[in-house]
Amino acid sequence: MRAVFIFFTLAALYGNASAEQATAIRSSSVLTKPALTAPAVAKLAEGSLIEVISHQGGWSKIKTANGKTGYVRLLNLRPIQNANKSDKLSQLGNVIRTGSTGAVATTGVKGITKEDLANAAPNVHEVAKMERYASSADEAITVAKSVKLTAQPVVYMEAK
Amino acid sequence: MNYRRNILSLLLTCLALQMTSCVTTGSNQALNKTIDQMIPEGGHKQALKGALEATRDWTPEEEHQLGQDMSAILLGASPLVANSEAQQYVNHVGMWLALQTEQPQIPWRFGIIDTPNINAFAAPGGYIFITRGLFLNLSSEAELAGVLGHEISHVLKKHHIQVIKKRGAGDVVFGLLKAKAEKSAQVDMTAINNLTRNLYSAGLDKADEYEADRMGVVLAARAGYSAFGLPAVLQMYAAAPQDASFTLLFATHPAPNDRLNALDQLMSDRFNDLNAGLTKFTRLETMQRKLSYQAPQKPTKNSGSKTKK
Ligand SMILES: [Zn+2]
Repeated sequence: MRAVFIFFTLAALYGNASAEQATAIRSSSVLTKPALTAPAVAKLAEGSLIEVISHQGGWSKIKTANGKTGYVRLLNLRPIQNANKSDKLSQLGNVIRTGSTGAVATTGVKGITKEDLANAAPNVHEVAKMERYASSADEAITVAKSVKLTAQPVVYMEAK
Repeated sequence: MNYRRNILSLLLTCLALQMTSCVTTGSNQALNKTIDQMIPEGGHKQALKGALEATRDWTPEEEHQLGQDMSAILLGASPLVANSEAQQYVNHVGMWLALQTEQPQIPWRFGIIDTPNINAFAAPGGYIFITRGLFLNLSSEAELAGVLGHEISHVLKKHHIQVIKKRGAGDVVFGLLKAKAEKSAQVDMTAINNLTRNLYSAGLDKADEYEADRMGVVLAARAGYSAFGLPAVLQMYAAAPQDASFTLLFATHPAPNDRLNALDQLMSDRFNDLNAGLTKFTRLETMQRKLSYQAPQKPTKNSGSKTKK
């Protein structure tokens, strides 16, 4: 029963992508479509608070304070830390960690925190397992082709 | 006696100089020959040669061995997700990315670690990990590519080994790896294990994280994905609540908005086509459903069945 509860709680945490708030770090046009040539539905002043709906390539779909929906450059926005989602997950983590609920401990939900690392004994068996899942170069190329990914010439960026 | 000590200090000075400049194997051989000629057999000679060897670049095999040992600690904290389809999927995406790098020949291995904590890790010699928590929070394969590209860059730039050397532990680690390779009796790995625990808790140099961001964006774009996958992940981090699942990630990396600012500066005049690399396939979502916490895994069901997307 408790295991089921845990799964539903985790599902709820991961299932609902709660709305993300962000500020515009520079004045930006809110465009009707994710295209530089698309008409603007609104203009964001630097520092405007907006709601992020989703991301698509270099664009963020947003909703302005006035309720207008459109697209702005993703890197024109800086999110504000979400205060709404409490730390349900950490509470959950504690439940699992302390083992205060016996059934839960058997679900095998583990963490990689500083404490987990400090207590970790080397598991060479798991490392060896990785060989089973490895992909050859040929296999990776075939799979990439099957979803129409093609390599592009892009040079590294130097730090400014 | 005095004469010998002078020679020794002279050689040590040479060594010190060599350590600061970039040592090539050729000059090491020359120095080794000098040691052979000038120092009689004994402890000094061995110590000198050992110290000299530790300054050379580590071989791919040595890096791989260290990566194995370090990965064993990560997987000791949380094991791999028991789903071969999802594991193979990240290996396909990861290897495709690795093929766009200057070192495709490294034995690249990718794995999803079974923990809701949100993070990704790398270990020397080609080991790359993403947690189940982060995997489930990604919105597109371009984001996965950005995350894996960042980790691949840590391996390419040998960031972990640099930190180890900077902390003065290079000689010890090197010695243990050599001993292990030569299978000389039982090698006590406590030092490497402790160093690993410490390294993943404290993180890499902040400058190395920014470098991995810069390279990760490019590797994703080279592989045909949108370059904005990693920035989108950083946006997700920046919006994340104070939550224990992010604690280690935030403790070991610069603030997400600082990372976004750094990328913003560089990407603004480089990736002008904001729609480049938009993918239409949904295989990430398929794999996310398999690993969703909603449905407890039944290991035998579904696994092995090929999902066409
Ligand atoms: Zn990193």
